[in-house]
Amino acid sequence: MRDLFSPYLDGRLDPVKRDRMLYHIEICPACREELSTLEETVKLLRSIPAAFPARSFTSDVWPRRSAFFGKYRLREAGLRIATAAAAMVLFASLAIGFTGVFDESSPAQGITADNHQKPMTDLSSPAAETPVGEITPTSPSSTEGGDIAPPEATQPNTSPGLFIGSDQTGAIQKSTETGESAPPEATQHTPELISGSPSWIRWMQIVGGAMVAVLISINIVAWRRRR
Amino acid sequence: MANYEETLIQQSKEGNADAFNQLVERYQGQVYNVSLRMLGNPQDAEDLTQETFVLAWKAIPRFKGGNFRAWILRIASNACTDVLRSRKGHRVDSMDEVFPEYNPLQSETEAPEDHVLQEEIAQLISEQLLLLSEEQRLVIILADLQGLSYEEIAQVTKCSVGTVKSRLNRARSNLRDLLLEHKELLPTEFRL
Repeated sequence: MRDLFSPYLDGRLDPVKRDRMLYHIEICPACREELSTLEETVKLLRSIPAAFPARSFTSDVWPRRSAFFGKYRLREAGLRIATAAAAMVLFASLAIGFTGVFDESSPAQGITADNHQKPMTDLSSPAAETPVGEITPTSPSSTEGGDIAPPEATQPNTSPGLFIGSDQTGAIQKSTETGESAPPEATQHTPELISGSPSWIRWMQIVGGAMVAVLISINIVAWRRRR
Repeated sequence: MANYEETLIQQSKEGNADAFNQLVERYQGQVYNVSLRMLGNPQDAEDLTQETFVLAWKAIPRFKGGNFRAWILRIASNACTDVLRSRKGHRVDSMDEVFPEYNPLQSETEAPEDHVLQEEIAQLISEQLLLLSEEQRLVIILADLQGLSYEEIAQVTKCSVGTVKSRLNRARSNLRDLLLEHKELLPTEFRL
């Protein structure tokens, strides 16, 4: 009922609501008091005389209107263009990364080419078996392998996500075929985990993402200020 | 009257400074009063009024018609919001700072003691208005001091008429509660 007091004092209540409110006022002393004090407050407010400025605000020369709605609009447009450009850089670098247009060597191609090029006889050679012997010393082939290949050669294969050349992936494939090294699942997933994108594309992605994040934040702050 | 204003607006859009000056003369009192009650300082109110008309001059080519008073008061209220936001954290320590040189013109028919009393009431209300939130202060200034309709206030504040109604109701109730704390300063005919 008290929500109706202000509209009532301003003459903005329809007759039905006004009659209902007036009836309530008759029977409710608290609301009657509330309405009375509110009415006095409005009277007080309306009794305040207007203040007069000490000078006029007319001018013989108003500032020139910019063709692009002034400096503020120009800055706003610049911010939007910068955000769009950063987003495009990010999008382009992501697209390049996914499609692999500039890949230095596609991991999948590298493995298949390697497998096709290598003759099957290579698999039984001592050089191919040597790393396997180094990983699993208890295996029977370790006695044949000797110490020709350095043990470090097997180390990069165990870290997914790093770039691995075709020779090394070939080594993984060979060792798994002997059944004595890493399980087959590991070698199947390795090509998907390895990104063949050049480092400049990764930098584009990082810088583009950071720029988009920063510019979107600035846009949000500017938008809130405008509001 | 409305047609003449439309002519002035059209001429202002075309860059006629004289036409725009006529609009300034017509609305400078309202813009100044809104700024003064919102900011509580005559110097800031003058600066803000000037800024409002400069902004209006630049933006008038984009004015699409409608209520020019609501449009210009919207520019003023936005500028007030910016000033108040930048001021946040700085509180007025002394009420003497609020209206140091507030001096409305004295009516010729008004007795000197009435004028003093009126001035004291105005001072008290102005001080209490500054204690309301910005949103509530704006609607109460527009409705009760400037006499705008609910629809015009809705245009100035960019909210619905229903919101204006409820906000105005709350603003008046809050101001009433604040004034009741200074009952002894109010004249007998206005004792709440």
